[in-house]
Amino acid sequence: MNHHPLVLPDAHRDSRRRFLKLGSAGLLAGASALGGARAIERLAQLDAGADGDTVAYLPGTQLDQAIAEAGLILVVIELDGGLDGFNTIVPYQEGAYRDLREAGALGDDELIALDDTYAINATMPNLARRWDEGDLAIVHGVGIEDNSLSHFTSVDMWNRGSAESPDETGWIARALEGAVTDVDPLAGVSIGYLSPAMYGDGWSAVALPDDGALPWSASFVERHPGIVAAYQQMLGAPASGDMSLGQQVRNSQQLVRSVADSIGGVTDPESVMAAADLLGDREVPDDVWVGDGLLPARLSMVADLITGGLPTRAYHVVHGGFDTHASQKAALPLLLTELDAAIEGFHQALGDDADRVVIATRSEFGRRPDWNGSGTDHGSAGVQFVIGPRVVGGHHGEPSPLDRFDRDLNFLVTTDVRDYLGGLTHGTFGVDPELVVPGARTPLDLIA
Amino acid sequence: MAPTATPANVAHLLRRAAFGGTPDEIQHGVDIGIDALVDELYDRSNAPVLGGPKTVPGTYNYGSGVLAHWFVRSCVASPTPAIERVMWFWSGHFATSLVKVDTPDLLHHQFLTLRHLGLGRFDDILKAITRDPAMNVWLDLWLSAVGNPNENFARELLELFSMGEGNGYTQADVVAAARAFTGYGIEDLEGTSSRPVGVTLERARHDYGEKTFLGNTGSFDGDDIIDLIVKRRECHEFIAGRFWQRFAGTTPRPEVLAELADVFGSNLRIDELLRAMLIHDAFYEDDVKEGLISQPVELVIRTVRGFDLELFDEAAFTMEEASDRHDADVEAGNRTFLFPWAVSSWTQAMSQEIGYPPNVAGWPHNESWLDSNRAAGRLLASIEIGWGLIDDEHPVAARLFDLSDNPGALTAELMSRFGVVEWSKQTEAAIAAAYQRDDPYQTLISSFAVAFTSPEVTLA
Repeated sequence: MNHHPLVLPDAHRDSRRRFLKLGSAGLLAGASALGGARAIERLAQLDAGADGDTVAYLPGTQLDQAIAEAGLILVVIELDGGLDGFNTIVPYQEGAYRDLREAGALGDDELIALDDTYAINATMPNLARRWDEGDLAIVHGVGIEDNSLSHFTSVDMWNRGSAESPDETGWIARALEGAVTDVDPLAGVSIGYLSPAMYGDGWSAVALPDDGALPWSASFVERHPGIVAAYQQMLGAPASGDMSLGQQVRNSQQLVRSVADSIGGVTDPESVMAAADLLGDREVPDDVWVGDGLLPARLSMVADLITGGLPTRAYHVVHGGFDTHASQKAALPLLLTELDAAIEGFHQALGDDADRVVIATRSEFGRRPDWNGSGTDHGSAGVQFVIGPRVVGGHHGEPSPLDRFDRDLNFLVTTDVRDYLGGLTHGTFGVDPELVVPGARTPLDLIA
Repeated sequence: MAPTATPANVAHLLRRAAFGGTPDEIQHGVDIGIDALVDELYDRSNAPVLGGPKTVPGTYNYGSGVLAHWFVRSCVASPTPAIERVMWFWSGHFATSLVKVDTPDLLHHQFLTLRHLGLGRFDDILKAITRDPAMNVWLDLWLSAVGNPNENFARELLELFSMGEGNGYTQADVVAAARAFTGYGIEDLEGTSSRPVGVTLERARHDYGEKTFLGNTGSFDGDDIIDLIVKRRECHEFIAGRFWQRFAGTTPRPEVLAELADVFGSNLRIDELLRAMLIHDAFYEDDVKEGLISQPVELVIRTVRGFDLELFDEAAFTMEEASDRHDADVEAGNRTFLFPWAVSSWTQAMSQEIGYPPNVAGWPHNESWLDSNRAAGRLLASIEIGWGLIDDEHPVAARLFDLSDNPGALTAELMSRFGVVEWSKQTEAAIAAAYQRDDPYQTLISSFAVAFTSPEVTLA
């Protein structure tokens, strides 16, 4: 039950705050890939007043003001596939735990006790330490009542923030609309594909590739004068109201152009590669799927963007491989080790900026209480984590009972997803939960 | 009554169903009509037998980049690209990933199975996929046994492969199906190698008990479950809808969907469903013509076909041998094929890697391909591909060089090679602006990149 300190690369320790260069028609002007009248109109306005030059990022712009307004930053980690909360935060004193999990139950040497009731999976020593320091909130019983056992339907509900959301917008986007006076694509950044949780009303956020590679760097522009000239023609004036797929193709390239102007050179490939080394030479058995192992690298990119001064208020990263129907005993420890190490590396890379950052997990569902022989099938309620210096440490939400289950023999939902996401965004951005997740009853008090 | 075979309609059909048409192919379609053209597209008497990549001596294996190369070259070289396009549809429908399966050889086997059966009866396809080694690993079928059924395969079979989420079945049906699909195992014919080559049913691990599935009760096995599924209207509508989504791009009008589901439900044949869809007037309406974003793999196949790019023969060379040969040719100043890893490098740059769908639901659709990450990838890839085009002795490149100071003709040439017959003034003006005086290489790369990322070509 020792807490093993991890050896971390110190690439980030003296990360200088790099000043961003923001195109005046760049940062504030990108039209969303999904398009929308609002973004298009603003693009037209700004375009009209833009001189086209790259200007230094100066106080007074809308997003700078947003930072001044206290600006906590939300970093969401999606545990893709459905986290088995029951073998992550374990009621280790309960006989029911061992009865339900049979051969899949964890032994004492696989657990670190947090208190008299719960232990954390021993593959997460850093989170155990944060618990002791009061920086870890464990949220119990989170889910959607009458949920679907489908990955895709559940992910969709989580993206919208509820089972009943009337439109296609996502909860992160709605929170940003409340947090930032005049919301802009760079208010939210997904690493990898654009999370639908960041689909806004008439705008959508930015997605950056895992390797940070974007066109339109200075050397790109120098090497490809023909493309520069041609793109001025091809993108042309934004066509207000034209939501055809063809126009959306133009809008997407326009967004790339403005994003690249804004963040070019902020991410540091060397520190991203160093972060990938956090996992060391881990051995993954054949036929065991543990995702792509890129969480440390993705979070390292986020750390670069934050310490580089990007005005983004919400980030979304994916950690895949949690669909542990089979080989769970081999896979889950590797997945949780990666999560724990990546978060620790991220915090160290952030340095002083860690004070501004709230990390929160999401996962489409918990897993079945019953062991299926080599893993666990799709479940309902599960456990989520919120981590950071501003977090109200401790247990939140009622734990699901161990002797009563729903119709599919899954854990009962005790914390509605809206109370989790509403509390999270209220604490981080000061936004009214009713705007983000309509119908939230008792949003959790997660951030101090 | 099939729609009129205008050049625009024929070009649209060939882009959606066959990775694009050359001017001659489009003219041929105009001459014989949509109806006869669709018959020709799926005429299996012309379909070649597909082989496989050369294995590294002493092993059965090769890298996933070789699998991708094999796939693309099979589609490019085939005289029946529409049939290969259906193989691509199925590989996305059953979305099996090497992140878990690990062995490209197994996925190659799955692709061949899907191609072999892909135009036939849907129940045959489902029964084959339950016996497919890659699928057994991917959805844990081989680990599911009596007493401990694993729901992974049964749930996705109903939700993603045959009926649609919650569409006429319950969780109890998933559990019943999971029990029926117990006892599959992966057979190791060679005994000593770890190469799994077949799937067997092990009696001792199968659940022979009584199950109730979709209102029927019996001691069903997996094939019985499939027989019950394919009788359902929900299945007919779901499969017709999936084909419409991936070929037309839009949501079908209810009466169109009902019509196609009727055709499909009458005998479960995929070729007849395809035919009904592709000769339907609704398939040629403007919203459909502007309704689908080309997936990167489809666009790369369209590009390699349209621009006559030469890929190495993976049946003759391993990747290493091809690399050596490529380097030696370059050294000696000989004409050679594209750098061997070009295909996988191009599609990966656009966030699509053959053999690695993002999850069991398959590839993203339409707007999802237009986020800033993927849009950036298309522009970066277009430049890489543009460099691959540059070869003074290649007749296509020579033609493009000749046209570089004539933007109108250059635009027409580029668009026609992508199978596009109508384009906007805006795109033509952009290609004109790409012209770099005294620098034909820059002009070619820039104009190609602009065409490749234009709305006309990004749309399928």
